[in-house]
Amino acid sequence: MHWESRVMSGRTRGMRCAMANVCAGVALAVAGVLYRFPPEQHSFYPQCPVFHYLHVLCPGCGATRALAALLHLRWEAALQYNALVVVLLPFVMVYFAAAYWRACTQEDFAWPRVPAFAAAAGLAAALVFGVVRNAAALLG
Amino acid sequence: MNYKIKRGDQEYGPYTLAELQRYVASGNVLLTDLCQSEGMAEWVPVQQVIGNIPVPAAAPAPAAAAAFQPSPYPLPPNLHWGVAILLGVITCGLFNWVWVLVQCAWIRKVQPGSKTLFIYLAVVAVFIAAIFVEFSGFDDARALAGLMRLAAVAVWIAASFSMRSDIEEHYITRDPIPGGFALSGVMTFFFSIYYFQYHFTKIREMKERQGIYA
Repeated sequence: MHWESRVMSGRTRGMRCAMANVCAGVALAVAGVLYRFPPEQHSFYPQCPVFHYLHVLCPGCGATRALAALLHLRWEAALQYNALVVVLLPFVMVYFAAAYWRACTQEDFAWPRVPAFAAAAGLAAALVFGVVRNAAALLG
Repeated sequence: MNYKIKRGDQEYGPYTLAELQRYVASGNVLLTDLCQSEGMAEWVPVQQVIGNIPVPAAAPAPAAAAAFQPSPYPLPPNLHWGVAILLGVITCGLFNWVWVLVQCAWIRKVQPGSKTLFIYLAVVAVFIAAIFVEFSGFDDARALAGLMRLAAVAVWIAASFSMRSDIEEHYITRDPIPGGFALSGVMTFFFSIYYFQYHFTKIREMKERQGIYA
């Protein structure tokens, strides 16, 4: 058994669950804003600082537009904006769904564990994606 | 019967009597710590509960295992640092704002006097204000918003160093890491929360190993 502070009462778990609900609500609200105000038509979304200052496409460039396209079920457009986000999104959603479930049901909360090799594979994929998309932009 | 332990403002447990005896034997729980069971209205010193019950002698541990003593403090957030970077990248940095608050919440648990959370909240407030200023439409709004963002970046760096100082203080004085602990200023400047998460990942792995062997 770990010598670790445990949750002492249901009230603490209830507060954590309320916090998880707030986070889920914020995520839904952001999705609603993205759906209602697509980034292609509205300029209030912040620009990627990497692209703005260095004129280099980072692995996350186009993620906001890709998410907005996904919300409108425009799969091809989403893939063109940022294929990495489209591929990783299901894993991210499963991860946060698991975290939400744990926050609301378990006494001892810990974020779901991601194996080190999966984290390394994700980072490597992001790196390769960043290099490939910039090379394609240069050559194209 | 299960017992809760209280040291200062922190509460731990509940633990069975056998676990409590083991922690007293290993020195993690002090006889002067306070203790309360389900049927007790008041907190009493652990010594009163343990009383005449013989405390089993701590098993002699190998030198390497002895170096990793269990800690009474909660473990740091357990997201792998690589995943933190990945989520930061694919959410255009939005995840960083959430995760920095998670890290600050942990710091507040282990260092109740920490001001880092408030400095980060100030950064968030200035960034949001800059967005409103930029779209307000008055003269020089873009220039003012740019200046506000610059100020926010400066405060962000100050917050990062404040968090670095809190983490170092915690792992040097309150919950010492065997072999010492120090965070690089350069890495803090450039990678801040990712760099802290890298160390949190390492510390968690070490503490979890310690949990197995304790």
